[in-house]
Amino acid sequence: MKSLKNMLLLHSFLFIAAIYALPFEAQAFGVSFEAAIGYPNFSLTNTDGSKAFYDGISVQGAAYIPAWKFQKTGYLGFGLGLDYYDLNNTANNAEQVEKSNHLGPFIGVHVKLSRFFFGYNYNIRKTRIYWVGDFTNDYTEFEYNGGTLYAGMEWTLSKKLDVGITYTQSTNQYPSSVTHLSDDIEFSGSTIWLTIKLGTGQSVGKIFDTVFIN
Amino acid sequence: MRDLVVSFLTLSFVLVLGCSSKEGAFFESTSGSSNDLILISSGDSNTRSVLLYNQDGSFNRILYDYRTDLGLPRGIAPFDSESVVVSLDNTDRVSRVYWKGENAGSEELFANSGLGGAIYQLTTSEAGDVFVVESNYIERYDSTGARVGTPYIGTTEGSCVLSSPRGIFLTSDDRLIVTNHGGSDQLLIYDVSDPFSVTCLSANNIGNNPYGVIEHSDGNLYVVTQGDDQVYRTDSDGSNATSIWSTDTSIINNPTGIIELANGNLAIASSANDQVWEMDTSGTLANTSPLILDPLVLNITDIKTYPANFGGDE
Repeated sequence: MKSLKNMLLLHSFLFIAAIYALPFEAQAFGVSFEAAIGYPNFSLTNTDGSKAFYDGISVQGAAYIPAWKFQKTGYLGFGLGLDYYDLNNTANNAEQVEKSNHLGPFIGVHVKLSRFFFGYNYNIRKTRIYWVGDFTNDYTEFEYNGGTLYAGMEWTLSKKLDVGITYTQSTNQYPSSVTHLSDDIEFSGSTIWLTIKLGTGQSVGKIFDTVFIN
Repeated sequence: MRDLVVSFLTLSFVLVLGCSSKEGAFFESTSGSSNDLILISSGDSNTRSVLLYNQDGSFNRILYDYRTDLGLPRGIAPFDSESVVVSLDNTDRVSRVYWKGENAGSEELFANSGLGGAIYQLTTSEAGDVFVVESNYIERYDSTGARVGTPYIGTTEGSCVLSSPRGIFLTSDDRLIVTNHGGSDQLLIYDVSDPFSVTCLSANNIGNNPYGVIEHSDGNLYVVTQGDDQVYRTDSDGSNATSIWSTDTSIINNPTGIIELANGNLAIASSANDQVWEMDTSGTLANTSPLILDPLVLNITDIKTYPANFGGDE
């Protein structure tokens, strides 16, 4: 119920933001930097077939580097960044709690078409999972990797500022070599991101010139 | 106007996708740990405790201390999600210890009808049936503590002859496995699916003074033996015994119990050196140090797995 309330608030905010953003012009072409906050929903299937579900909050910082411009505001380029997830098991109760943190870099391809965009990222994350309660007081740490498909749209607030919304679908594997379980565990899910993007209007070379030469 | 409609529909679509809220299980823990727990009964005169440990061997809690009560804990088993049952010798009885719920911390008599001899290990079914080793009998109680049979399994049942039985294990298909510590050192297997009738399925010789026994998820039985301090693997019917752990009393000495850990390894209670050791099913130690080495664990009389979802919890 709390999640639903949060989502309705987010819905309202985004809707107002969308209406406000529509009259503005498209963002100028160039390297851009993005900050995002997200609402993730993940799940995994244990080796005994039982499913565990997670939600929480996520944040992300990314840079997008255009490589080939093919429309006035469209390009094919690269994205790279860092994301962080703070997840809670939805079965948490007064007797047992499971929480996890996931942090890691990603790199991928990014395609922008007018106000729409999509892409794919390869990610490596380090996770720390901990349990507190009557059954288990423990934690574990390991690394895993996976891939994320994403799509979204954005609206221009000013010449250098966009806001947007992104839907990502991630598929990751917890390797049995680190979990010591009999099989790999698929850890997958989706995240809805609210993004704000700062466009520099400049190429990577010009940004390097600005930072390191001038 | 078209942009407005597209924006609204897009936002609605992704937000509906994100509004799923489900309840499920917990992730089965990693690094050898799990939501399952380990029950241990300590039979030392200075530590007559029943204890709870995590799968990685870390201490969880003392469930109950019998030092000021009459009774030596000889066996322990999960009863439901909130309580365990403990078999006690002198005064002979089965007690129920609550560790969760509104009665947490309390202990009460579960059953003592028919118990008058030497009490050893016990086992339970998820339906709440309790099977207890008593002298050369096996007593059975239903979930209310009412005695079933007089006793449920007598000394001789077909080709199964109880001779100083010690360990007891109930399989998921209602086969009761009992170790004969005395006599010709046998592994007896009974069909106990019918509360009013018992059938002896097999009686096979094994090792020297067998004690704790389990059925592993690989389908085999694993038995610890006290006379030669070894660990044996047999077929599911108790035949074809093969030693997987040769005698090394610095590690396994007078073993009393054996369980399967969440990672499939075995954990073996070594009562003479007050330790629990983890090894794989081929008999290779998982670590150079014990899984459990704790001042509260002295003269271990029984060790059992307490599944996280036992009794329908979670």
